[in-house]
Amino acid sequence: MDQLLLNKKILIAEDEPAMLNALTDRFKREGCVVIGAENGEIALDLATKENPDVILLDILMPKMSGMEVLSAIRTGSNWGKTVPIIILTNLSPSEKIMDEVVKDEPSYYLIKSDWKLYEIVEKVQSCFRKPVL
Amino acid sequence: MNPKDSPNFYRSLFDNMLDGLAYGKMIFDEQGRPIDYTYLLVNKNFQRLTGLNDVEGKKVTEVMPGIAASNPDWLEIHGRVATTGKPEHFETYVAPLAGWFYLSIYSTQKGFFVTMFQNITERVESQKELEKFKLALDNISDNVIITDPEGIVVYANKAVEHVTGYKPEEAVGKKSGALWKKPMPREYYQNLWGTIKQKKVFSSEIENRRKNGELYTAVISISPILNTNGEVEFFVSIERDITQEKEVERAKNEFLSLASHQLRTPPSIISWYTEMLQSGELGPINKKQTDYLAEIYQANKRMIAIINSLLNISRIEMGTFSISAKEIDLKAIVDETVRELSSQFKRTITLKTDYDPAMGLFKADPNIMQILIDNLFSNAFKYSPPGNTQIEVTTKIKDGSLLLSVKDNGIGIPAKDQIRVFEKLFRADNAVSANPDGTGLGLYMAKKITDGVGGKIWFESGESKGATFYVSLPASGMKEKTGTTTLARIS
Repeated sequence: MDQLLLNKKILIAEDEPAMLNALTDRFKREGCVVIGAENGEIALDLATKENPDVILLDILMPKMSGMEVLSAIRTGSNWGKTVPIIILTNLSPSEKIMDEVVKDEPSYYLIKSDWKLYEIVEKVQSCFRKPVL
Repeated sequence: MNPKDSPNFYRSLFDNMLDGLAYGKMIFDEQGRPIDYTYLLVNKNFQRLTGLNDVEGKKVTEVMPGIAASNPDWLEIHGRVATTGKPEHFETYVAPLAGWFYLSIYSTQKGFFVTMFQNITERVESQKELEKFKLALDNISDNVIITDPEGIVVYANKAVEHVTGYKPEEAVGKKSGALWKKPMPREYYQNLWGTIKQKKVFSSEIENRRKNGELYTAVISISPILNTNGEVEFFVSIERDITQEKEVERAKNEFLSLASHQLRTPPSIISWYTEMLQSGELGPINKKQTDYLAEIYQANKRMIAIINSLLNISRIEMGTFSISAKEIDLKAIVDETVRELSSQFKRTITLKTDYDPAMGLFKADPNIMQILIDNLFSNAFKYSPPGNTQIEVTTKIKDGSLLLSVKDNGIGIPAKDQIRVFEKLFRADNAVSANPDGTGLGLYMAKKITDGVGGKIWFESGESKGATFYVSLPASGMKEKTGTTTLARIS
């Protein structure tokens, strides 16, 4: 097992319980400290409190959408400006979403049904291989 | 000598004046009703304007037979002027001459009259044509506004009021932009004026404001109308309110996005849990469990592919997908596709490639290219003998086009079905036998996509003789296109 994610704090924002469970399971196996959030409000709250090392963000969530959370995190603090955020959604990117994505710079935009769990793990790992500027 | 005293001077005026002139004597019956008159003197233009020769000394009923029937008040008016001395003028259609005339009649001596007239046929006919067009324009449902070269409105049709709330009278005389209070960004109007001042047509979508402040979306086309010197004389702007259509399109897009999101959720869950079971991290699994889990995983992947296909088709049919052109390596996409399909079908295939050495990177949307190539190759896999799948792929740059061909040694397409293979949901019988689970959407989508990026798709095939599919794309690549959504990868 790659040690890259050992003890890294990962926030997973996902409103579908089965999906949150699968992701939590998988990232715990990588040695991550997993924080789960089942809606946008909780996600933003926990992000601000815990300052995780990486965030997996769903878009369609109750209380606050992933795009709003993304925007709030990016403009909220210095930590928020650079924390790697991976959008993990089943929504195809529309022009409106892409505009916001360009503005808020998530690290990746992944369609859940197209990506295996191990591939998502690889994507998260690659966030920590990047040089920190 | 003073010209006014010279008879020659007046004679020359008489002969050269632009109007026609006739001097006549009235003829009355015993009851004093005017029944005829004699032409005593006519000028040179009389003949030119009427086409009548040699009328001096002749009666009007001789010279213009049928005049009394076609113009019942002709003789009456002449008689009245000759009798009362009060001048009259009128316009009328003179049937014997097949033309419109304007007459001005006066009398200086009882029983006699002088008529000055003009042939106004051309003017009247133009007028009638104009009336026809004006009526048409007034009643069509699109807004039509005509402005002078500076943008001041000179005409607005009735539709302008229906759409904008401004009556035509309110619009005329104002600068066109002042009415809709210009909700678009400044660059939009700069571009608009820049285009039409260069005497080009400007076509675009636009947001305007109604009189009540409400915004609406329209599609607008402004054409410069040039005079014979090639200078702008008017601008004609035609606008159609498409707010309703846009709203429907937006609702459709939203529904589509939501539906596809909901449809993708259960398969995503199945996929991840199957993956976790397959990985053995939840406990060792035996061979049969591995195989059966693989079946679940594959079936689930097919379902996801169908969902993505349907989503793409809906977007393609609505014309709303975007094209984002990047420099892509076609060979790499082909290699990756073959690798994935070989794994999916658990097959090793014989692949022959013949790439044009002149082909470097190709400017295309990577998703769209992947969908097209996956479509062609997965068909080649599906319908070829599993133990001996041979696929040949070639690319050739010729006459400004990139030609891609994919040839297989499979079941081919029977002649009777060939005309239908690009139809939505159509599957040939031999295809259904070989592969019961196909959707009948692949080639339909491939054709729609190829058409949509300026290319062509066709094939050569015979039953049991394999098939070669050709895709031709402009060598310059795909053009960027903004749309409301992107197409989904199928694989």
